[in-house]
Amino acid sequence: MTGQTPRDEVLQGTLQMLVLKAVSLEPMHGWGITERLLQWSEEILRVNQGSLYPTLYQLEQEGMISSRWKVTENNRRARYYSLTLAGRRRLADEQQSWMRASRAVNLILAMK
Amino acid sequence: MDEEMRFHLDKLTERYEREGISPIRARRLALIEFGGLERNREHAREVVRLAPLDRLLRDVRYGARVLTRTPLTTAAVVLTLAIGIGGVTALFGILDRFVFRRLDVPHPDALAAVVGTRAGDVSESMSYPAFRSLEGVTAVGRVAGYAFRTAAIDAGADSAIVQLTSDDWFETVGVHPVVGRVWGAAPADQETALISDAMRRRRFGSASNAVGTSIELAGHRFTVIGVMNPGFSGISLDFPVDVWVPIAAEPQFDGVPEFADPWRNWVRVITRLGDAQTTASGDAAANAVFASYRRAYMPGSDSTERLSLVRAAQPMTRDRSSVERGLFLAITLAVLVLLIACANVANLQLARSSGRRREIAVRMALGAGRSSLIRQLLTENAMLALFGGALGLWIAVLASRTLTGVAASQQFGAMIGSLTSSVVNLRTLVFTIALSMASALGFGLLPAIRATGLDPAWTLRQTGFLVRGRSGYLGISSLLVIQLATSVVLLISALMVAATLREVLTLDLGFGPRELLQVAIDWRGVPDSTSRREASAIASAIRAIPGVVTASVSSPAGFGRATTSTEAYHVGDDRSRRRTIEYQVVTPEFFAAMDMRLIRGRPFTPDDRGGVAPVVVVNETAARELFRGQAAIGQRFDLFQTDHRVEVVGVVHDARLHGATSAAPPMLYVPLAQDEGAAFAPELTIEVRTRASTVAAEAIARAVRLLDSRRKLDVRPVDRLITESLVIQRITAWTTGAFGVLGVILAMLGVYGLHAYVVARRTAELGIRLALGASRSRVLWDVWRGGMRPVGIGAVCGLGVAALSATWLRGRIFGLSGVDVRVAAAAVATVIAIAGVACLIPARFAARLDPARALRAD
Repeated sequence: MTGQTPRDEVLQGTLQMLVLKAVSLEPMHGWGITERLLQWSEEILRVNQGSLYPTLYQLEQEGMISSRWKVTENNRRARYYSLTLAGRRRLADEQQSWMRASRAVNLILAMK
Repeated sequence: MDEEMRFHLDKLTERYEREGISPIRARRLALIEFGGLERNREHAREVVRLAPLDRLLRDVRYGARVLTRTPLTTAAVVLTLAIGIGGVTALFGILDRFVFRRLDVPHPDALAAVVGTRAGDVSESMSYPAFRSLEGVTAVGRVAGYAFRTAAIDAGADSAIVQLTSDDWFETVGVHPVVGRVWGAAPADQETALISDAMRRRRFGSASNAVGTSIELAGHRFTVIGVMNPGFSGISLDFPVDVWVPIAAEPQFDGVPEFADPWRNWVRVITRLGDAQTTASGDAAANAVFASYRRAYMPGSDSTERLSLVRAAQPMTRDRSSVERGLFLAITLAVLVLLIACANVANLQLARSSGRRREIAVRMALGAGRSSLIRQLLTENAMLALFGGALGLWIAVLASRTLTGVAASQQFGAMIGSLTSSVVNLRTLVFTIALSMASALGFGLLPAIRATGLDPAWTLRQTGFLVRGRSGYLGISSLLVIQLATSVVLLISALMVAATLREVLTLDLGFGPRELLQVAIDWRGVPDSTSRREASAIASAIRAIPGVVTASVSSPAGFGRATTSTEAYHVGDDRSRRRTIEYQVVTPEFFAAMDMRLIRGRPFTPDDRGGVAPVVVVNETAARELFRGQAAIGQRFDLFQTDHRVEVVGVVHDARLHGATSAAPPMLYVPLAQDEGAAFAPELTIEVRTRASTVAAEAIARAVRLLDSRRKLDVRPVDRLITESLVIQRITAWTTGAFGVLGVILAMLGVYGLHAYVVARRTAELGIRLALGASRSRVLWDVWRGGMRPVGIGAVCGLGVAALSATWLRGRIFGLSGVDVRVAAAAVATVIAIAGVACLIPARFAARLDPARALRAD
C-alpha cells in the first residue's frame, strides 16, 4: 500500500474538541477538516470519515457549529462549517480541561 | 448529506491520484477507506437523530409505498376501521352534546334548580306564592321563576314556545339580549317580549331590526324589545324557547290568573348560588322557608314534601337519565365493534408482517435498528388509522344525519335533532384523531413487535417451504378468540334489547290502545266552564259518527300527558292519614272508550252528577295501597279538601296511562260532572273508541266543524303515541341491532380472512400430505377443525362475558330481567354457524388442492 502513514485513532471523546478547533479559524468543509487535522498533527491523526460526519451533524444539532453551502475554489458545492458563539465557549472549556488533564498525565509519565 | 459525502469521496480520490495512482484504482482505494457510502449515511442518520419531522416524512413516504403496493388490503383495512371509528364517533358526538355540554352562560356551576321532592318523586314546579316566598332568602341564592307555554303566533298556524319569565331570570341565568334590553318593572313593560335569534330570522329575515316591532301571542300583542344571543334557546332541551315574556302575562296564556293559588304548581325555579354557597345549605334554608309558608297557606298539606336544590349546569331535560343510559349502552357496543375492527386489522397486519418477514429481515441485516423498524411499522398503522378515522368521521356525519331524519318524525324530534345537528366540532375532531391513534397502537403494536423480534439470519435462510410451528399463529388465534367473544356479546346484547322492546310493545297495558283515537283540543284562552261545555258537545258529535263505538272526555288526556295529583284524606280510624294521589277527571264513557276492565263494583253512570253523593273509581294499585287490605268498595275518604267526601264504587284494572315503560301508580277516577269547583280540569281531551280504524281524523274534524267550534284539534291514534313514546327504546334497539350485525360481519370477515391466509401459508404442507395419500375429506376436516377451534373458545368466552355483564345490562334496558338462555343459545349458534361456513370455504379450497402444484408453492 502506498501513501499509508501509520495513523493513530483519535482518542475517544476528543474528536468533538478537535473538530471545533479545526473550524475555529475559518469556515471549513468536512474534507478540509480531516486535511487540517492531519496537517496540524503532523500526519499522525487521521480522522475516520465514518465518525467525522456524525460528529459534525451532532455538533450542528447542539448548536456548536453552523453550516452553509458554498462554492469551493474549483467550483464545486460544499458544505462549510463554522463555529458559533456557543461552540467557541465549549471549545475554550474543553481545551482548558484537556490541557490540565494532559499536563497531569505528562507530569506523571515524566517521573523517572 | 449525499452530496457532502460524495464531495469527500472525490477529494479522497483526488489525493490518491495526486500520489500517482490510476483514477480507477484511486477511486477504489478511496471507497475502501471511506467504508461504504450507504453504511456511513445510515450511521450518520442514526447517530445524529434526524430532525423528527424529517424522520416522520421519510417513514410516511415509505409507508405510502408499502400501502399502495397492496391497495385492496389497504382499502379493506381502512374501511373496517372507518366503520368502527365512525360508530363510536357518531355516538360520541351525541354524547358530547347531551352529556358533557354545559349551559353557555357564565359560571353554569353556580346554577341550581329548586324542585319539590316527595317520596322519591320529583316535581319540577311549585306554586307562585311558594316561589315568591323564596325570593330574598340569601342562602337560597338569587331565585328566578319561569314556565313554558306554547302559543299561536299572529293568529296563524305557526306556534312558538313561550317562556313566562320572572324579572330576575336573565340576571340569574346570566344571559342578556345582544340587541335591545330586558324589560323593567314599569307597568308599560308588562306587554313586552324578547325573542330568540332563530325567531328573529324566522320572522324578519337576516338583516332587519326586530326591536320595536310587535308580535301577537295567543291573541295578545307584545312589543319586541330585544333579541337574544344567536344559538341561545333557554336552559331546557325539551323546550327550545322562541319568545320570553314577563311572568305577569301568564293570564293571557292560561285564561285565568294563577298567582294567588297556593295549590297550583306551575312555576319552575332556578337559582344562582354565591361562591361560598352549597346546595345543602340552600336546601336547609329553602325548606325552613317552605315549612313556614306551608303552615301559613296550605294547612293540612302533605308535610313530606320537601324542596331540594339540584345543580343545573347542564341544559335540563326530562329524559336525561333514559337517554344517557341508552347512549352509554350504545357507545359501549360501538367500542366493542371498534375492538373487533381493530382485532381484524391486527390480524391482517400480523398476517402481512409474516409475509413481510423477508423485507424486514433484509432491512435489519443492512443495519436498521429494531426501534426504527417498529417506528416505521407504527407509522404505517397510524396512516391507516388516520385514513380510517377521516372516513369514519364522514360515516359519523352520515349516520347522525340519518338518525336526525328518523328522530325528526318522532316525539323527541326537536331534542334529538338539536343533538345530532352538528357532529363535527373541535372536540369530536380531537376525539376522532385520538381514537384513531389509540386504535393504531391497539392493532399495530403487537404485529410490529412480533415482526421485528426475529433473527434476520434465521429468517433469510427460510425458504418458505418449511412449515412453521403453531406458535407462529398463536397471537393471531388469541386475537380471533377475543373477536369472537366480543361478537357473541354484541349479538346477545342486540338480541336482548330487541326482545325487550318486543316485550314492551306486546305488554298488557291495562287498556286497549288499538282503534283508540285521542283528540287533543287547543283550549288556550278558553274559560274552564266553556271548555267543559264544548268538550261534552264535541264528544257527543263524535259519538254520532258511524264507526265510532263511544267517546269520552277526560282530563288530563287518556294517555301520555302530565297527570294531576291531589291529596286524599282517610276518614275513620285515622284522621291524620293522608297521601298524594294522582287522579283523572272522566266522563262515564271513559272506561269503555279506553277498554279498561272493571274488576269490582260499577263504572260511572250519567247519574253520578253534581248534587248527588260524590263517587270515585280506583285502580287496583290504589285499592291495594290505600285501604290496607280491606275491600275497596264502599270506602269513604276526603278528596281535594276536607269536606268533599267521596265513596269508592268501582275498582278497575291498572292501566299504564303514563307510558308503556312505567308501571301504573295508584290512580283515582273522578266523574267530570261531580268535580265542579273541586278538581281542576285544564286539558280536556277526548278519547274515541272506533271500530276497525275506519274513522279518519277528517270525519272527526268535520263533525266538530258542524258544531261551529273554532277549536283546533289534534287527532292521534293512541297506538302510534305509544310507539312514539318508545322512541328512545326503539333507537336503542336499532343501534344495538346495527352494531350487533356489524360486529358479527366484521368478526366473520376476520375468521374467513385469517383462515384463508393460514391455508395459503400451509399450501406446501397440505400438498405433501395429499401426495402421501391423505384423504381429501381428512384434510377438509383437519383444516376446518383448526379454524373452528378459536371460534369455539371465543364463543364460550363470549357467553361467560355476557353472563357477567347481564347485571350491568339490566340496569340499562327497561324490563330486562337477565340474559335469556334461549337468546344466548341463539346468538352462540348463529356465530358458530356463520363461522363454520366462513371456515368451510378455505377448508374446501385446501381439500381440492392439486398436490403436484401445491408442492411447488412457496
